[in-house]
Amino acid sequence: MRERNLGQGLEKFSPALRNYVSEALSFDAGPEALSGLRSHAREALLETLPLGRSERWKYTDLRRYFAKPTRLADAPGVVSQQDLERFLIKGYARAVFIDGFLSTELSDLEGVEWSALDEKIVGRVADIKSTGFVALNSVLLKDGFSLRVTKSQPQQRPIQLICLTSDKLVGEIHTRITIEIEENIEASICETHGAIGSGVGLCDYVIEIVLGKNARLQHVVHQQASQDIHHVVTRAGRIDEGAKFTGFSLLEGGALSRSETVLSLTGAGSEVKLYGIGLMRSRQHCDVTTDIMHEVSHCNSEQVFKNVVDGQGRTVFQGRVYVAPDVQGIEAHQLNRNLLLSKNARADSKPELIIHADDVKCSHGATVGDLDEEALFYLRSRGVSENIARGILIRGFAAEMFEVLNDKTIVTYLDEALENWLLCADYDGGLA
Amino acid sequence: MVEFAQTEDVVQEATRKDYEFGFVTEIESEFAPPGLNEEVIRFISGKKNEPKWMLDWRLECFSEWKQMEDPNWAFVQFPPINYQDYYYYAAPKKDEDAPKSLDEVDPKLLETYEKLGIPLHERAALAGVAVDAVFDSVSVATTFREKLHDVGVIFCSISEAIQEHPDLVQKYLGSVVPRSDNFFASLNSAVFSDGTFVYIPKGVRCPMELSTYFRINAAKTGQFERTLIIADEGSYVSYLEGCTAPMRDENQLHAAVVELIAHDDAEIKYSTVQNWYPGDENGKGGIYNFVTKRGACRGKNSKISWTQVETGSAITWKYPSCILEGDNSVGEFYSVALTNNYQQADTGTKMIHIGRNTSSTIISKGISAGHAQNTYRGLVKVLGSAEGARNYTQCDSLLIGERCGAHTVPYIETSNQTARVEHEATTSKISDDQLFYVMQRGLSAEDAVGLIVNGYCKEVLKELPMEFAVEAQKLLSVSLEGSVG
Amino acid sequence: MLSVRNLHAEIEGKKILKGLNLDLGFGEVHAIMGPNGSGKSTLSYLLAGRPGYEVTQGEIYYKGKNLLELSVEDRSGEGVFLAFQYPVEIPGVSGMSFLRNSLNSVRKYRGQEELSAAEFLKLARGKASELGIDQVMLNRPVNVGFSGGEKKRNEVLQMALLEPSLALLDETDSGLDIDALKIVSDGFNALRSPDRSALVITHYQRLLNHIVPDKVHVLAQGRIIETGGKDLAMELEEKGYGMLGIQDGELEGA
Repeated sequence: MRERNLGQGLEKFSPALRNYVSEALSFDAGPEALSGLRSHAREALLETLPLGRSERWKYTDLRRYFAKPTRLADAPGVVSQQDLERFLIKGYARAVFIDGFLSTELSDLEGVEWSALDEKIVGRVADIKSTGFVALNSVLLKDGFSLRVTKSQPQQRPIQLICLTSDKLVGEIHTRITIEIEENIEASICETHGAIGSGVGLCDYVIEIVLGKNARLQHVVHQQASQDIHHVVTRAGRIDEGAKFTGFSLLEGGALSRSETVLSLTGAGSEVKLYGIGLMRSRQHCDVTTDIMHEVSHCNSEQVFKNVVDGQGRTVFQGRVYVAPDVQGIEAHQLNRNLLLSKNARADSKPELIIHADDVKCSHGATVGDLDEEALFYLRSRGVSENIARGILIRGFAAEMFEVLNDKTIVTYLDEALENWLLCADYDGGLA
Repeated sequence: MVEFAQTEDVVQEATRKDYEFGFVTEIESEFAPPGLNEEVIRFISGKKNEPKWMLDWRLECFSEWKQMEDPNWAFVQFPPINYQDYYYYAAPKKDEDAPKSLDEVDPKLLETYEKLGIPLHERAALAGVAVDAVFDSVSVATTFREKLHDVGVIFCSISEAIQEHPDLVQKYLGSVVPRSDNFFASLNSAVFSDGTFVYIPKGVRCPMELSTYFRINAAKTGQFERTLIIADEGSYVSYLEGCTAPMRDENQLHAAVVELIAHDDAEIKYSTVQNWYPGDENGKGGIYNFVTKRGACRGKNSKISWTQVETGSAITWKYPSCILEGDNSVGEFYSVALTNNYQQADTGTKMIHIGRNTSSTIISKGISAGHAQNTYRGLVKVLGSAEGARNYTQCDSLLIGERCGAHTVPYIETSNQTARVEHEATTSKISDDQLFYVMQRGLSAEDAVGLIVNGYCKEVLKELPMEFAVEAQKLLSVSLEGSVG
Repeated sequence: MLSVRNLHAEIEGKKILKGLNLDLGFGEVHAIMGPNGSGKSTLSYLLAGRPGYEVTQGEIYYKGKNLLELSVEDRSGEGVFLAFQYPVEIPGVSGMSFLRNSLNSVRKYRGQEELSAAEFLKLARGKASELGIDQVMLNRPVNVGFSGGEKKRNEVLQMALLEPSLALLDETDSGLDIDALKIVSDGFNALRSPDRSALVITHYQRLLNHIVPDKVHVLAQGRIIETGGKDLAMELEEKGYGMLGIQDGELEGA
């Protein structure tokens, strides 16, 4: 009876899409503690899942994915400590997820406060009704965990969240992680999304982040998914009074990837800085969507995203800055720069300012182009061959972003990834 | 810094001024039966004694339109429009035949245009400007026709062109804005009653500015004019349009379609000062201005330049665009959109780069005051074929008062490595420091705001022909009535 | 060293050089003076191989090789060095990384061993300190946020490292105060030797007090219209280009 109601409106979709939705609606094998969340989420599923055309999913079309038969991954593949080695950052505590399941054996969570998901925590900031994957994730999630950094247990080591797919993966992963940083506490977290072998399917992570008053979080993401994976990560956060969130992403994509970040600034003096580099090649598609909501007076944001697109790669940047009515003293800036390295590369950019108050200073900029001719000539006139010169400039274009990070360990970690990408792309980045 | 609450009051007080073109001309009009159906379309077509191909085209458009839905993606809000509430044809009642010369035009109409500052008597006319005056649904007068005829320029109402130059109309009508392009364009294609037709032959530089003055007078009337301008190889034309309407409590619909075609080495400069009635300070009444304007740079080295100053209308929905097909063709869009009180504007442009070395420039200045919502929405699309394409976009939004909104929604789609696309946008309020500085030098708050806003728009205003630039400057100050500094 | 014969060149269809002849012997330093827009910078860009310039007539021989046939980087390997009037800013690329890439590329071209990181560091630091260039500056992105003087000093540092046989100084004095001018000129003079030559392009005579040329050429209307000794520069300074019947800025472009 219930399912029939939920399925209302399904008729307009193709049988394959209908099939996907009804299977998702009939799923009820998630954690017992989240049954209430699931039933709420079912009601929102059809409205929110990007099955038709929508402005928010204008440049990323998942209909073909949903139209194919799929299944949920029911158990993680086997990953050895040795396989894990290359993903580790030295000195970090870690939570390791294999095919969406937390592996306590591979994790090292000593001194870290964490717990299983429950309904008091899940869904606090990720809005089930927003267009995208939150409702789907809520309905289908099988595992996840909650992380807290508190006054009673402050961070001793930075924490690395390692989310890997194994070569056993064929199907879908839906996982939820919540992060809470208590009042006046500082934390550093790095998410690593990687692949061991070539899994196939969909990875859907929803990450909820709450920053208490005057909390600080450095949130770094390195993503390098399998080339057969659709990789969708939705980050939803609430930044309280005086709190500061600094995000830095290095995205190397999967087959198709979407990184959606929705952050609400809910207290005066709060601040969001989001920086990112996207490196795309072959037929990869990478969509970075951000939504920074200035809900109160005196909160600021800054965003800089750079993309390097080679082969037949395609990048999408949709950045939205929203300033609510009646708020004052807002500064919000946004910049998106795209470097197209090949004839068939494509970049779409939609930086958006939605401003409902007058005491603001907002700006955005977007550029698309090839490498700077003048700089190429300068390098070549100093004897550097054209290919190396191109490599140096591409590297410079991306590495310039590292200047915002003070954390040497992280810069080294990201720089290595950048260097590897350039080498694989046949751009000798020059001597480091 | 000085407390500016006081200034705001002063500005509010000082800038109150009524819409100066809100009068109604008492003239007997002839209407089509109200509402929209095939009969009405046959009526319009019959009134104009149109050939069958034209009627068939209209009917096909109508049947397509019936399948379409109102667009809902723009940031504008209005109650659903009942399209059966409108009259789709209203014409001053005179002789059955259109006036043959200016002497036959109803003196009341001439008076109306005098009041609007657009004298239709050639001897009194603005030097070097030929005018086509469109009153409600029909063209009432076109000046300087002979002089233009001498150099081969065709400047007449579209109704006449359908009769006199059917080959040109058939070739180009709907070739830039396909009849099923969008909801309002389809509606227009079905019911358009008049408009302007311009053809500039090969190698001719049009000796004077051409201009159309649009006036909606009759109540409950929609105006659906159609403009078609063709610049043949190596020709040049500068075209201006102005618009006004009486103050009425109900909303009136204006859904125009403008198509421009520039062949090899031709240039079209199209300037608009849009001052339709914006509604009162509580948002009652005003024109719904839903317009499709598009130019095709078909030929190599062709150029189309749009300049618009939009101060009127309750709602503006308008994206004058350029399709840059010809190699080395150039598209430009210069815009000032000012919204006050409860006005809403969602306006911008589309630049579609297809040919090699095509370039486009977009300069947009949005000013939002009162409770108004002002959105820039623009698309820059560079196709794989557009080697060496260039775009530069600068969009600035100015907010006056804390109840208004300013939004910037650019779409930048680039599929060519050799393209260079640059977009910049800023949003800020009118600067207290500037206001203080200017007022300290003795200007009233009203003048200070006017001065600063005009300075802010200068980049766009300088693109307008002289007479229009002066008018536009005045308009900007006047339109800020009741705004807060 | 360098022989330019009847050189005609244009950019975007605009003719800039119209039959320029120039001979520069080993160890010689020639100054090229001339009004704005006379084609001085075009000449230096052409010699360095900047894309966008088209040679429509004439030839350039450098150490017996047809220079126009060489790529930009090969010219650099052959010892042509252009000190830019406006050195290019390259964000994200550290000065040290840039210099090392450059030096090792050139060394490789010349059949020399590439330098290890340690060797390079020692060499670069030594040269930098001679020129009064701060270590911090070397680690910053190339030219980004540098003052005019710092940029020019950085150019001379690159010159010192690459040891060119033909240095082209394009308005190196512009934007320099007197102290910086001295440091830069001293840096250049230290490199002068019987097998190195230079073209010093300048609008004003003052640089030539510090870098004394063997010959002074006046370039106008796309060709050399007057050649003399260093006194010619003095005379021009006093009397202006008007003495040669030409005006400053009379030609556009270049």
